[in-house]
Amino acid sequence: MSTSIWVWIAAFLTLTIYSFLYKDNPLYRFAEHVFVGASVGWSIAIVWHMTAIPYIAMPLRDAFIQSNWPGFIYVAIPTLLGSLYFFRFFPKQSWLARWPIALMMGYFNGISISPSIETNIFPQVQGTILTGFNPTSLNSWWALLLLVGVVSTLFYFFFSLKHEGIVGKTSRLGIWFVMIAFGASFGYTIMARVSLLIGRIQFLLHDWLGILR
Amino acid sequence: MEKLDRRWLFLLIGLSVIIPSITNLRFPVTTSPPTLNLWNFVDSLKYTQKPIIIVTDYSPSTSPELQPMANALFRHALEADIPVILYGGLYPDGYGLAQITERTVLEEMNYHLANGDSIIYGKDYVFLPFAPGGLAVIVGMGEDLIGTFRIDVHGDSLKFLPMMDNIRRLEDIGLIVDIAGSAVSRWWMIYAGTRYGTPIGVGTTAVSAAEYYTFLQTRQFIGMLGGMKGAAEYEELNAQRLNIEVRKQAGIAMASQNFVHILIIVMVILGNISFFVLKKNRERRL
Repeated sequence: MSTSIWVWIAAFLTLTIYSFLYKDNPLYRFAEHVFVGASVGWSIAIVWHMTAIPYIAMPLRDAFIQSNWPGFIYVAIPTLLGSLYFFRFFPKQSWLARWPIALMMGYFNGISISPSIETNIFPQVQGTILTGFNPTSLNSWWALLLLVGVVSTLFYFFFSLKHEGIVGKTSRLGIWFVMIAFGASFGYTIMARVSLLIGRIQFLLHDWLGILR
Repeated sequence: MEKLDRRWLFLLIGLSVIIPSITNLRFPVTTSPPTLNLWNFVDSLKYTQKPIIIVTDYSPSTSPELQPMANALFRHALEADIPVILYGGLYPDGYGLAQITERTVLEEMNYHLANGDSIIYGKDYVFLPFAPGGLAVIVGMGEDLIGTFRIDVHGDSLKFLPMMDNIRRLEDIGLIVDIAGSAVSRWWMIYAGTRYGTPIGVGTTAVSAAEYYTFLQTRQFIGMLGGMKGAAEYEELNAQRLNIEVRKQAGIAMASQNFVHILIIVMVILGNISFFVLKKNRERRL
């Protein structure tokens, strides 16, 4: 059994969180609030020590001591722009927060559009198109199935034509592929959720109680 | 089944996890191609000596699945003498989890390599701190990696660390493995992969794994570790090929996984039978 007070606290919080499975109770709500508070506190501490100090305070201080005014302005302007976000808390001046938002949106849109297309569309289309079909190769048949799956699924999401006749039949085939994909996702989702439970049980049995080797 | 209190199901699921764990039940772990491809690619870096960046882009809520992946990858790279850059990721949460990986693996390896071949910080691996900016950080790394971070987690200049001598930007990196429970891996693929041509691997939660298969076929991801199964496979490859004898955190969990999956399959079948029987009874009454 662990002799660390932190392991005992973590074990207590784990058990209180799982007590919700029986029914909602004050201990569960206490643990929930501690979790939210701890994660926000952690983020603030990291941002303060790894962003505010090394990227703002120290460069400003060094530039000021060395009378490096271009260097000072180079840090001060983005800092001031970023600080405008805090005007969201003052209703009358909240419009000032739109400036950094506009700047960030412009930057991220500019930087994202071209590589997003190059990543998400071109190689994916290329990967779907069957080339060099060889009837004796199993991979070729898988590739053909993939092509049929992609095309029929796209038909299902094509709403400018009525889903009847050949379009209806193809879109109904598409539903099957969509359902198989959902099934695969569901199986994986169960694995993910169970993994979280296993993680906590392993912590309780191994780190806390020392039963599990 | 309709009137069954769902707390009985919670109890059954709990028992299905606890019993295989305490009885030390083990099931063989078979390796899937996405894991094998990633393992082989990581291992091939020992010939080029190009570094691997292991990014822990996740938070404690997904760590049971993802922490074993980070540990296994870090262990593999250090064991194979591949230079490693450990990076806590684009969000503040990942930094603490990267610290856990560093501590766990170093304790195991320095115990394992008690003959003197210990791991040296700055020569064998470097730990990068959190830097603000999200994808702007990736773009910054692509242009000037040292200029983007300047210092490591200990506050020392990256310029003076011997491992960083030949690393200027992402094109000098052999592989980035992003371990994430969100869509952040796509950012690495879009910016580091497409824009700067750096090979990308991914370790992801099982929830996201199905979505990422499309990027494996096109080789936009070199390989993938999907959920706890992916982590268990990587641990198994480490054990088989490198004789790494450590506690298999994910491997141990797979017995519980199997039991819970069987339980859920049985419950889905019973639930469906109950649904159709009740439906038929209602129709008869009408």
